[in-house]
Amino acid sequence: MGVWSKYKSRLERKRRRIRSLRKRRELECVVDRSATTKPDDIFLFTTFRNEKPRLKFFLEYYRRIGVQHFYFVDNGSEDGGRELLTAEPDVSLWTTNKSYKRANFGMDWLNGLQSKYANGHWILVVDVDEFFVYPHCDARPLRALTDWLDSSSVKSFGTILIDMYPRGKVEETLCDEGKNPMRTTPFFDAGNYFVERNEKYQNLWIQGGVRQRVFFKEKPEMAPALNKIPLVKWARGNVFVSSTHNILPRGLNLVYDEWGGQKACGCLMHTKFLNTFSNKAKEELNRKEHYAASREYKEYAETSEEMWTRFSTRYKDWKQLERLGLMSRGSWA
Amino acid sequence: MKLGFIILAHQDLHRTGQLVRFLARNNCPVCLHIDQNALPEEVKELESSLNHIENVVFTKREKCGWGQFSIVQATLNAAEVLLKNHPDVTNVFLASGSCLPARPIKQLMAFLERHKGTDFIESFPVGDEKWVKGGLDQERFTLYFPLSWRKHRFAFDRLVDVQRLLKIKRTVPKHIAPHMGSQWWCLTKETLLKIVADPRRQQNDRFFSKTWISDESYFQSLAREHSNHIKSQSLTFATFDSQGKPFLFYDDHLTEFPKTEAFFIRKAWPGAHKLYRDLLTVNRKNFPLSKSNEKGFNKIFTDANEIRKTGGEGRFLQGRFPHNSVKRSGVSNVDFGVFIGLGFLFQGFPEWAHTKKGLNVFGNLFNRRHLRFRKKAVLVAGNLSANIKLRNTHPKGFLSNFLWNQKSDKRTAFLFDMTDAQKIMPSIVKDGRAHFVIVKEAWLLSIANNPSKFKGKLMRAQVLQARENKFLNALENDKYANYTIFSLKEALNAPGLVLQASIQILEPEARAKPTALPRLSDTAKLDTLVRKLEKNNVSLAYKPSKKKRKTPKGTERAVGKPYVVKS
Repeated sequence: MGVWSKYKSRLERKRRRIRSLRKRRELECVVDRSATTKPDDIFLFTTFRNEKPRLKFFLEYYRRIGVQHFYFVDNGSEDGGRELLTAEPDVSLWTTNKSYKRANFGMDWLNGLQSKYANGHWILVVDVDEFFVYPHCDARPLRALTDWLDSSSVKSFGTILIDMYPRGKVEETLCDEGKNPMRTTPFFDAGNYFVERNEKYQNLWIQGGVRQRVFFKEKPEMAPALNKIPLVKWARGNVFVSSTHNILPRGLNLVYDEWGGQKACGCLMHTKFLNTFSNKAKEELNRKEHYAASREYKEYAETSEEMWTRFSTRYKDWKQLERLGLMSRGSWA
Repeated sequence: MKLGFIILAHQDLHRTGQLVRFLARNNCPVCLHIDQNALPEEVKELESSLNHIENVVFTKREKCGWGQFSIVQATLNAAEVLLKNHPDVTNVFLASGSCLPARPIKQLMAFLERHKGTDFIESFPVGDEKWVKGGLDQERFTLYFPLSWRKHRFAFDRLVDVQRLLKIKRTVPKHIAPHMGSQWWCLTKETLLKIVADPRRQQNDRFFSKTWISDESYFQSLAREHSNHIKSQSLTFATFDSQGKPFLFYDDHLTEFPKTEAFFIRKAWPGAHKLYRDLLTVNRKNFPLSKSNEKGFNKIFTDANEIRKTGGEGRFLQGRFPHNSVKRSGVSNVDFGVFIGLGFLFQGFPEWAHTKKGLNVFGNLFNRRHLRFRKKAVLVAGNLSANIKLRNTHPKGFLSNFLWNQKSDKRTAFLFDMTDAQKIMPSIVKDGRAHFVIVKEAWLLSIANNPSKFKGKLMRAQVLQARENKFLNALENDKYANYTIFSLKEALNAPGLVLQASIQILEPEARAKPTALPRLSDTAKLDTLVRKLEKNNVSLAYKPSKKKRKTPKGTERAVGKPYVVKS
């Protein structure tokens, strides 16, 4: 890596950081309970819009694995989700009606909050429809993982986003409030993931899964990225670049082994395809507030193919994902 | 008998407190050393929680650094205090503050009672590969190590280099036979007393204070001098990962403990509540030692190290993306076959192999225009779709996914030809898992049976020949490539041999049996084509027979008859 490229990367990091501090001013605080946190707590940061039915289970899931405080940014919800969160004792909440897209799809807001609240903490950055699955997650809390990463001097943990889908029509897939959406959309694609290396940021660029297979078959190279780095020991000056796909400084993107071995990594189970999704797709098409002019949502609106096939895999647990080669315990026995 | 404990603690002292109280409750006197680097508030809390227990004594606090003599000093101090305060102990067990008893203390006592007078200390002579796994060995005792390896790794290494260059060598005192082994031991009082009250103690201390990682050699060497009966075995299970840090134990390991032969484990994750609760109860059940399975226990950790070093072969995902040049960067973790030209030589070869022989053979996965997995299948296990655009974007990823999705108990093979998309070629040529069966110039058959005009045939022949030469050159230049090449003549004369070579790859265990052949392709137009090509300066290895081939009628009959292969 040349000096010039290092310098450019540093400039980009500074630029994004300053931008995030500026964009942070768009946020209006609803409730700030950050004073109740302890120095070694694990935090979760997320943005949401009209996701009330998901919030209850989301909080429950992440509290159970050991997240101690939640930082939410609400982007103009109208369904009462904001009120629901305000009452929770471990939630700090900000709200804004400003453009999601112009805040780099919410990342500027989160980067801004993180640089204020997350320094020195392990943080999870996930969407409300994503569930973090890591090795031994059935028996060991998240703290065990972060302790192990600390003792290995590792500061970030990589995952692959696994799109889950129901059998049958998406519109008819109901998930009641507080229920586990991984149960209602239990299927995923086990063996169609394609990886390249992004030389600029040195992260892996993974595409595939059901979205590429069904919605992007005509232009597979346009399919959404599935590589994510949601768990980071946050240090002052870090910034996420594009969602959690890549982060600066670049060293944090090296969550993979390059010498023929395998590092510990996890999965993010993505439960996007519920009945709420089709309404959302229609709304997003008009709002045009999503990545690449909501390209993804256009494809969804035009495709009516069933996602489920006889080769779909039903999700069981992390051991199954490890057997399928989608995640690994690495040397964490 | 009376069992005393020396506990060396430096962090998570609330857990150490739990352990010490448990040992004291089991009537074991404990001498506790707390590292000076420990957090003051934790130390205060620990001291106040243990003060009132009469079995527990504290020793002078040293500042301990990894691999430094201060650890030995702390242990020696503690041993002196323990032996002075509790002269009635018969055995002394050294453990760390994050150790836990894998078996009940009563079982440990009974075990020591059975092995009266035995010192359990892992102690291998210098040069024994059981202990040192890479790194310094003899030189730990003969060089000087003023720098911390942990903090100044680079300077540490250079200092070693310089000393090697200058041939600097400390002399090892005559009475010391350098031995090394696990830091955690259980000695008899007599042996420990002899080490602590050794008349040459000053000399010993001076020598070992300059030795690297003296905590793994001081007692290990001196016990050899003083003990009557050593068993070179540690009663504490500790194992290390590839980074050199000890593996931690968690709640989910609880069910595994009956397997270990050890009585203590190092080290427990401080957050493992269930582990601490269950292992530190007084009336625990004995796990019979006879039912232990140390290998099985160890496997958990050796497997993890293995995964880190070599795991996930054939898979390219978030934890793993090997450089193209390293070992294990291939597309599969099992051997697979690539059959070149067989699709032209035989008619419907993959279907025949699959349905008639139950072999896992697929057609041309890299066909330029038409991609199907089997017959009309557009999807295959793992939901990989027969999408040509996708395949052309990621040829290597496509093949690696495809092979991964196949059942692992059967080997997979697929057809590949010079007429296919060639982007995958460099990767499979380099792949040590790929086994090739090649019928050279078999593409002549496809051209011969093509109804197009000769000009087109000529151009096609030139293109395919150039590709084939390029491919064969690449293969021959690769040291590790596995391949069998047949010329077209050989293949036409004895197609059974080609078949046998292919089946051998798919079922290396199976013995060659006489077998029926699939239908051969029509060769009637081959000779004419080759003569014409030769006239147009395409030089081919295949030479047409002098006489003209028999009439088409005769050929048809020959094709219709199944060939029989002799084994």
